Parts: sequence; C-alpha cells; structure tokens
Amino acid sequence: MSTTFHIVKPRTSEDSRQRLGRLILKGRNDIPTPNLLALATRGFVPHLTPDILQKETNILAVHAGFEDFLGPRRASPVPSNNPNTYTSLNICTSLGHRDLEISIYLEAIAKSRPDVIIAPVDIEFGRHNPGAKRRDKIVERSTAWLRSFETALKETESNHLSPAAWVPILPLEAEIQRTYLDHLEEVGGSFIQGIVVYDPGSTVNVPEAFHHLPLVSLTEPRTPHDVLRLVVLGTDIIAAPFITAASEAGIALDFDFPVKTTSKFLALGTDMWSEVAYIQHLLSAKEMLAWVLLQIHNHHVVDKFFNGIRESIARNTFEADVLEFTNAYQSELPVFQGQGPRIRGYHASLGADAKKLNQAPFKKMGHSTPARHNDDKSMSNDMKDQAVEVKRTKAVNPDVMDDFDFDGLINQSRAND
Amino acid sequence: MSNKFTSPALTFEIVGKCSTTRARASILSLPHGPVQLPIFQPVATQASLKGLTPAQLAQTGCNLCLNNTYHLGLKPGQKTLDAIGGAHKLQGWKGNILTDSGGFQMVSLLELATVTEDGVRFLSPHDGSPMLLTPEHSISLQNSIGSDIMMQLDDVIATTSPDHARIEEAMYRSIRWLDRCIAAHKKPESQNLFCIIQGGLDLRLRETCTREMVKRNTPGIAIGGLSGGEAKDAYCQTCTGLLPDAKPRYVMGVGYPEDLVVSVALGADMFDCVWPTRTARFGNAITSDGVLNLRSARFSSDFSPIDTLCKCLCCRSIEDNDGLGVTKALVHSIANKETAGAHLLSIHNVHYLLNLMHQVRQAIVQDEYPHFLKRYFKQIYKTKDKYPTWAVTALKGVGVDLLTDEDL
Repeated sequence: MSTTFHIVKPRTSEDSRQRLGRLILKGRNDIPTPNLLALATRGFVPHLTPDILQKETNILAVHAGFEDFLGPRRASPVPSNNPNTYTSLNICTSLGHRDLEISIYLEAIAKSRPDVIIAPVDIEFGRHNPGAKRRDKIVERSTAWLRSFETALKETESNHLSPAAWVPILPLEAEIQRTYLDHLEEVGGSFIQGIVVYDPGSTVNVPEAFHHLPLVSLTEPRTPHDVLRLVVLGTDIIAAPFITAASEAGIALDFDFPVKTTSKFLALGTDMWSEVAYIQHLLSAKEMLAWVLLQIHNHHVVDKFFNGIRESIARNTFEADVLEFTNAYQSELPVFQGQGPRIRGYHASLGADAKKLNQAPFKKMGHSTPARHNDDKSMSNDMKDQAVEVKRTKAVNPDVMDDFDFDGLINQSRAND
Repeated sequence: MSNKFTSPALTFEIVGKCSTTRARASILSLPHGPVQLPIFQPVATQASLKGLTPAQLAQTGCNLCLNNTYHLGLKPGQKTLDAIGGAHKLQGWKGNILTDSGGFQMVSLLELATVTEDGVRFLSPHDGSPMLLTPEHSISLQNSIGSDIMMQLDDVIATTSPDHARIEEAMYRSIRWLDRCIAAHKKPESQNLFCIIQGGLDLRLRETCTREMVKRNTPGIAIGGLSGGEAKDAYCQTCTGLLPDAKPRYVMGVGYPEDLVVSVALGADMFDCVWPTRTARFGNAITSDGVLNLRSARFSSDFSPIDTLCKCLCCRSIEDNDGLGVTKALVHSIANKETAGAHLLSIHNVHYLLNLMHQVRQAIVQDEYPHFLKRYFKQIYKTKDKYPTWAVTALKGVGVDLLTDEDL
C-alpha cells in the first residue's frame, strides 16, 4: 500500500509548529490534516454501525488495536496485567490478558491488510515512570522488535499487500532512546511513512529526517484545548478518546473553533442528563440509542473543530484563534456524572475485582431485593437457556450482573425489552 | 359479510383470503400511513428500538412499531410528552405507533404490583414512590403519546395461573375497564382504541369476553394474556372463528416465526414481540435455517452472510445496493462485546420477521398459503419427526396437513 503525505502549508515557526497537510492512502479518500483519528474497539467506533459511520459522520480514519485486531494495542488500552517479555507484548483480548508474540503480530499484518500498521514497541500501558533498568529494556526490545517488523513488512511487499509502516517514538528522553532513534534513522524515510507519539513530550524527539512524515498522536488529550496544544506541537493526525468517553457519560460536546461569541467561561459541552429532551429520556431509560446519537453528534462537533483548525492555519490566524479559544472556554469538559445506558462487558476490565456493573431497575413492593421468577415451567426454551447462563455467570462471579439477570427478572418472551 | 370496515381513524380492507385456512391479507390505513397485514411489529418499549435510529428502523421496512405506555408514563412522563407533542415527535418517527396499555407489565412484573378494581398499584422503579395506573390514566397517557393504535388497560394474569376464579374475575374486570377506557378516550377521531380479549385458556370465558367486547364495536380487536408460557396448542384453541371478519385482529406478544405463520392460518393479522431484538443482544440470529447463536465458536471463521437468503442491510453485499456485507464471523467477534453488534443483529432480525410476513402475505394473496406453510416447516425443521406437535394439530384444524407432501 503506497501512501504519500503532502505538506500543503509548511511550519513557519519553531514555537508554534502547526501545518497543513494531505495524507493520501491508495484507494481511500484523502485525509486533510490536522485531522481526527477515530478510535475503534474491535473494529467499531463504539456504538456506531458501519452504515451510520458512513452516512452520519465524516470519519476518514479509524484506529483499531490488534488485541481487537490491528495497531498492537488499543489507543487507550486496559492496563497490562503482566510485564512484556523479550518476544511478547501483554495485551487484553476479549478472552482476557494474553501475551502476544511479536512474530504473530507481524504474521497478522499480511493477513489483515490494514492501510497502515504501527510498529510494536515495549511500552507497558498503565505503568508510569519506568526505572533505569526498565528503560534500558524498553530501548533494547523496541529496537529488536523494529528489526523484525522491518523484515516482516518487507516480505509482504512482494505480494502487494504491504501496509504503510508508522513507527513510534518511545515516551522517553531523547538521550535514553538514542540507540533506538539512531536505528530509526538507519532504517530511513523510504520505509517509515509516519511517526507515532504516545505522549506529547515525544514530539520534540522526532529526528529531523522524519519531519516530512505525518506525525500521529496516540496520546490521551482530555479536552479540545489539549488537541490544540497537540496541533501546536506539530502533530497532524490526532486520536481523541474524550469523544467516546463524553458520549457514554451523556455529554453533548459544544464548542466552535474559531470562537463564535465574545462570551467567557463557556462550557465545552452540555450534560444531557440535565436537559428535558429525547436524549435525556434515552439516557435515563438506559437506552443504547443515547450513545449512538451522542457519538454522531460529538464526532460531528470534533469534525467541525478540525475543519476550523485547518481554515485557521490557512488564514494564518491560528495562534490568535487558539488564544481566544483558551480564554472563551472552560478548561475542562463538564464533570461526567451520568451513568449512561447499561454498562456492557467491554467497558470493564476483566480482573478479579469486577464489581456489580448495573443495578436492578425494578424492586419488589415491600422488599429491597430485586424480584426473581424461578418458575421454569412458564419459561420458554430460549429463556431457559439464558437462565442456565445466569447460573454459570453467577458461579464464577456472583456480583456480575448483566442482561441475563434482566431475563431472570422478567420471565416472559414479551416484557420490558 | 363485508370486506371493508371504516372508523374515524382507520380503514381496514381485506384484499385476499386463503381458500383453505382462515388466513387473510389486508390493508390497515392508519393516521401515519397504510400498513399491509399480516404484520409483525417490533417493540420500541421506551420510544427507541434498542439502539436503532428511526431511519435504520424505517429501512428494515417497518412502518408500525410499539411503544409502551407504562414505560413512557414513567419516563419521560406525561408533562414532557405533552410539551413535545407526543411520541412521534419525541423519537423522530414518521411511521405509525401502537401503544400497549401497561396491562402486560402486570404479568411480567406480577410480584411487583397489586390489582384492585381501581387499577394497578405498583412502586415507581424511578424513585420507589407508590403509583396507581387506572384505565383513565392509561388512556390519558396514550392520548398524550398520540399513538395511532391505543390498547385498553386490561387485567392481565398469566394463562398458566391455576387460580380459575382469579382468571374469571380478570376477564370481567377487563370488560368493565374497557368501558372506562372508551369513556375516557378524548381523541377517537385521530386515535384507535382496541379492546383486549381475556379469559385465560378457558374457551367459555374467552367466548363470553369476545361477545361482550365485540358489542362495544372498537375499531380493532386484540387477543391478550397469551405468550405467558402456555402450551401452544391451548393458545391456538383461543384463536377461534368468534371474531367479526372485517376488523383487524391482533395477537399480543407473539413473535416466534412458527407461531406467526400458524397464527396467521388461524386468522390473526397483527403480532408483536421483543424476542427478535432481545435475542439479538444475546448474539442470536433468526435465519431461514432456524435460530443461530453466532457466539458459538463454529462461526468464528464463517465468512458467509448471516442468512444467505436475506436481503437486509447487513446481509446484502457491499456491491448489492450498498449493503454492509456483514458475515457470521464478524458478528461472532463482537456479539455481546460491542453495542454495534446488537444493533446489526437487531436490524437483521427485525427485517427477517417483517420479510417473513411479507412472504406470508404474498402467499395468501396468491392463495398458496397451505403450500407456503408446508415449505416453511420443511425448511426450518428439515425432517417431519421434528415438527412441533402443536403446530401440526393446529394446522390440521384449519385444513392443512403438514405431514403429507401433497402439493409440495
């Protein structure tokens, strides 16, 4: 897969490194940058079916973790349970934490045919401030893995399935990762077609030789202010996990760039729990459509936001617009208070500490415990199967409650769907 | 015997009849557009069909879905419904809506409520406060919802209840409550109120109830209190020829494909059930080969469509009119893990049942329904020894012997 990155408007200052670009992936729509990299779990932008993604959003690029399938890990992964090893990465799959052999990941490249693949590096998500020994290991392993990555990817070239290689800068100081960076430069810009950073500080460590490549942020901006800072730091393609997080908490994002009013202390979003409207109804009724509609809306707001960023850079007003935005909007998103629809399996870590995820909605008259029918005779076969499932789940983890419990509560084929 | 019935807010016209069974094909014209019967109605209990947008629901072919009065009365509440101008506006739905009165929740949440002549007392699941749902309040709520078809509040008890006296009491109470509902109904010119026949599995009680309710001349008639787990042949007994011909007949809470095709043969026109959307959330796909649990490991690398004969958005290939080309393997990897997995299967399952009823209708219009029934059972069950006895018995009663291959 051949990719090209055109710099449409180069950086003009070292302090404020924003630029305009165009990422061209063969056979796909061009991506004007700066732009959003939407985040998927199991290949789906959460709650959006593919028809909705196509018709109702302008999402041009999606990141998928190989634990679901592609980049080695999700952009906001569940913290690793176990340390990585010399040949494997500890990942969280749908079946629990597993060691992913780097060789298997590389084999999967050829099969899964993504447009872009991110080289695996030895980062243990959720473990901060590695010690000196650990840092040496990170550099040593990542360098070794990059070699295997290069070999594996070159092998796939022969059958024209080769995805573009994006390579991370390690989240370490430049001198500590010197041997790794030197190796990157050896490998060179003809093989490496994009640079990924896992923390904003890494952007200064991108070797000069790669400045013409798209700079991709897989950091965790918490607000649009953070996204603007990433643009200032020179990133072109930016993942923003706060979009889905806001949707799931019932927050409708609401901001414009450049700012459209002269008001100050504007909220960055509206907590839909406090409104009287359809979305509020869906949230409080725990209907999944709340998430769908908020995801459509929030991605639209962020799409407009990036559009505004590009126009502002083109007009040479970006720095002033950022200042104005910073002054106009509150520094944080509204506090996430709402519980949202029923918590689903993928929200939870799979650890032994799993608590009861959802409360039973109905209570018996005069009792505080949820009612439960146990009359098997009046159950259809479908429901019986589910009931067996409940018992099994209970045996493993008595506190986990899910949809099956709801069927135990209502033993009819037509009830509170 | 007339084939057409008109009342202020609906027209019902029979356009085809099966010459063997009691099956009919008809057109029911409602305030939000015509509906072709027989029909399956998906259930959007709380003004949302389980994660589907109204546009997605419409493109499954649906133009009549259910909302539940009991739930909408709790959330968002009558004040909000009045402020926004009803449930169509609330959920952005241009098609028709039928509202269940809340009576069924008495069966489903039986231990949570007590029934008196006044109405149903229960604790609000919202804040635990005591509440009373009366026939008048149910109708007032349904007037606020603005549903095209409203259901009377009925005294529902499980047909499996051994308490015969209680079943009889519930039947007579349902008649009294129907009178209260009719009296309370403020918008008969734009909303249709259907009665609900009760009486458990006691044919004598059902007959009494039918006679009394038919006298009230509601624009449609429902058969209620079923789907509570009763033996299926007993249920079929109650779908008798007692009902007037020229009125839509709605069997509440029925939704398994075999139940639908048999009930149509017995003369029913309308059905609803949460099963297709609920079972979707457990990873089950309704297909022309029966129900498949796609969570099973055997589908992990099955790259065929959910149902090769299906033309829904999911099952159509990308080349075929912008289908999604969803495979069994894809659903397997996300079922019970991503909400989008449930959404995709809900789109498929709802489409499957709507399309099944569409085929049923065509077969009736062409007067080939007995043939359709035989073919259908053969496809689902493959061999005759697996045919459910209740279905064989019920269909024999209307002149179709599933066990002979004649005219297959």
